[in-house]
Amino acid sequence: MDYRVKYISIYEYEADVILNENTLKIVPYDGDNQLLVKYEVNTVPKGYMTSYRDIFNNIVFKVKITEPHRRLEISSESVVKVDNRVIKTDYEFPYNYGFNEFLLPTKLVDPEPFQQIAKELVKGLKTLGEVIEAVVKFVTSKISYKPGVTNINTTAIEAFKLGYGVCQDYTHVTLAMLRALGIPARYVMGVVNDNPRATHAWVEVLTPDGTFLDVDPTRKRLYNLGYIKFAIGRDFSDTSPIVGYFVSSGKGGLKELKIEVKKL
Amino acid sequence: MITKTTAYKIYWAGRYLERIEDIARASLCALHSNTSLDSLAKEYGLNSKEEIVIYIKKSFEFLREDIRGFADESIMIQLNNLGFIIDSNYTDMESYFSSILTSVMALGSSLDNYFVERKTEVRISSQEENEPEEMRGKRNLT
Amino acid sequence: MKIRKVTKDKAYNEFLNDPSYSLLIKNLESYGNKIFNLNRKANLQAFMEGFTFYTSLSYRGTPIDIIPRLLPLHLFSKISSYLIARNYVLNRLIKEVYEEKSAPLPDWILKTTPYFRPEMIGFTPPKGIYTHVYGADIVRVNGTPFILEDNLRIPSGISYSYKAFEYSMRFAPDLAEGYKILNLSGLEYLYDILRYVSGTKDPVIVLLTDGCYNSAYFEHRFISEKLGLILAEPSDIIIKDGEVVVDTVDEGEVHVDVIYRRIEDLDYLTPGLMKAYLRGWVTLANAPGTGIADDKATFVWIPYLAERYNVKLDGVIQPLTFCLYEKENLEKVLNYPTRFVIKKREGYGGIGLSIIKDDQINVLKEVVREYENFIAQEVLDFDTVVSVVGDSYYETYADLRFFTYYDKVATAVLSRVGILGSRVTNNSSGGLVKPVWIIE
Repeated sequence: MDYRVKYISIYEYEADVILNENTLKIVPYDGDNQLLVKYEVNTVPKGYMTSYRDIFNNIVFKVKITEPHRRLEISSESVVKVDNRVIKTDYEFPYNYGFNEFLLPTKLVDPEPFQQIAKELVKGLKTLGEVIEAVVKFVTSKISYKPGVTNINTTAIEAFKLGYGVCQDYTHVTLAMLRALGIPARYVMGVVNDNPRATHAWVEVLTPDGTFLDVDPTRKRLYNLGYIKFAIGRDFSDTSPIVGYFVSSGKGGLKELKIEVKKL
Repeated sequence: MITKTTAYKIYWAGRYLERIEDIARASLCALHSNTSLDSLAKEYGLNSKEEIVIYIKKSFEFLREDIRGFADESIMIQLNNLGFIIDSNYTDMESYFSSILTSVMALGSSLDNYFVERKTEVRISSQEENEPEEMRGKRNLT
Repeated sequence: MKIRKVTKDKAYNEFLNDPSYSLLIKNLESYGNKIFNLNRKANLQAFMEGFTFYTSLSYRGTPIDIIPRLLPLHLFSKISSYLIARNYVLNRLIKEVYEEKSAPLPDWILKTTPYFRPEMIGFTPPKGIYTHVYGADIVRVNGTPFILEDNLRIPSGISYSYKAFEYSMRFAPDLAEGYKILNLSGLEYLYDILRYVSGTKDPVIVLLTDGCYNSAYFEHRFISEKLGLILAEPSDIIIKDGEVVVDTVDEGEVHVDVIYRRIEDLDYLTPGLMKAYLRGWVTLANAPGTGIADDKATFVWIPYLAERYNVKLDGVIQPLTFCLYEKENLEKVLNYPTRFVIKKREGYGGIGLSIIKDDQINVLKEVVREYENFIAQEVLDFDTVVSVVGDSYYETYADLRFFTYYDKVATAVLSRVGILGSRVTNNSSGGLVKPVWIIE
């Protein structure tokens, strides 16, 4: 399925900004089940821009604006081809994946406090598919969707204890559970393909074949979600769509965010 | 060529040095006229004589940072001497403030010498051209 | 001579084993116990004369160890040639990234350092030079020199080299008895390279400092004084149309040709200066954005780059170093942490440095969470020297920092001694500075 994706975010400031530096991950991921056909990133004012691929092969843009401004517009327009995967979930569980970076503790996700609960939960389960379903069911029963309680720095265990969160938190807790069980899984940031209002977060689970299964714990949906991923990583901090800082004598922030996904 | 920031430091070094001198003198004056140091302190917006000492120490710190911006080694030595005296025991207040005054004077003197070059006196003497060669040669030996 | 040891490590003690020190040992023995007092006096005098190093904690004297370290001339020459070649490689790398817009190593390494400056892309600095000043940290292992780290952003310490040498000579001149010691040079090389890139014969050069609370302020004054540079702070610099001037009280606004900058954060402290630089109105040394070449992850790639640029790097060994973003490397380090020295990519000198051998495994917690920001290096049991501390001689670890001014290496070399028992040798950790004598 081919999509055209448009992303635009607008920042406004009460006083002149003399320096605005940002790292952007606002272009669809090029790899796995996605093929990025074309892409373009722009900012107004223009500034100095460069791009590179990070350790997860995400396409990252860095933009630095030094001319004084009170409004910053960051936008991207891309065409991406998203393929469906062949879904197989009856891999045996447990399975020894060996040393894998997606099993290690991260800045926001530490699997250790979840070891006990996770082991209890999957007692007697034999396949990867069963485990994924059990974990998603568990996470959604423990966390209620409520914005404003957690923030971008909330860790998995904090969100779990609070019992409230948004897609980022559902994803973090799911990752913590899976990793505690020795199943490598990664954080995905992207957009849903039906009228997205903001970016969304979900999980990709590694199978013994080396392929990934996509899982959305927030909406309780599994496999071939058809979402468009922008960036992957260990947790939210690796995939933040826009992160940076500005220097000004006044305050400012995000005024508007618009995402448009169109099937071609 | 003196940059504005260096000029600023020279200006404030002078002011802080003056402040230290001034409060040392006023304290001595109070001690000599049987006025309590605590009431002198109030004139400076401070609460007690201990705060006078703290005020001097703080002024010294600013003085030091300003002087570091333009001084040479001999001034630094005088400056650090003043620092040690300011940090010394002040049970004998008369002695404490007197020593500070003496040290301030020495530092002031040192700064004075740094800024003003003491030239050797030069005079204008007349000289003539019409002398025989042998005489000129002899003159150089004296 | 009774020398106290603080660790049980069996390192090669340069002082006791290298025959060139036997004369120094004899000279020290002639001083007897007087040497400890002389060292104390030298330190007190240095403090009194303003030789200080400001840390966020306090105004303090820079601790001096008056016993010199000896460096034979032939070794200095070998290291010199190596560093000039290595500096060429570093300069060439920066040129390739910014001017040629090509990345000879994974470009995320170059672009994720906070010192990468996208505004430098496509710009050619005057005379093609980015690395006017380069500080290399070298240690000796059984006498052989190894390079630990490159410093290109604001390498400091040349003034400490001059001062340590001076105080040692003033207070214990007899130590030099029988030695033929090379004169100190280096500052004139700095002047030469700054003049060269200015393109004029008698340029107006400014040394840009951020003020008296900068830990290296003493050096800022020392250098500007010795070379006749104008010591200016950001508020003295004014960007005008077509030129950069320094604001003076007696001569008005004076046109500036070159700024030897001792601050990194130009965007915030001197906004507009980068634009002036990119328009050719003023030259900056070192060039902004040079920090991509002294990143610890980039260090791993230097031998490869030397080959790529057809430059032979020998005489000094680069220890085995690798990045931890590669899975096999990360696994190796997590399984055998005590075999390596772990370093974090950002940070000046000791900050972010960790020697797992002597340290807690807590550091690994941080490593695991951001392995792309860490490198690991083989542990080097570098040679020890002897230092005066208090009333005794102690065996200590010391490094050697060489200053390369583009194509000349200063004979003013700095040796930094780690605090007792520590291998961390930089000033902000409270170590000593030792004079270095290049002997024939």
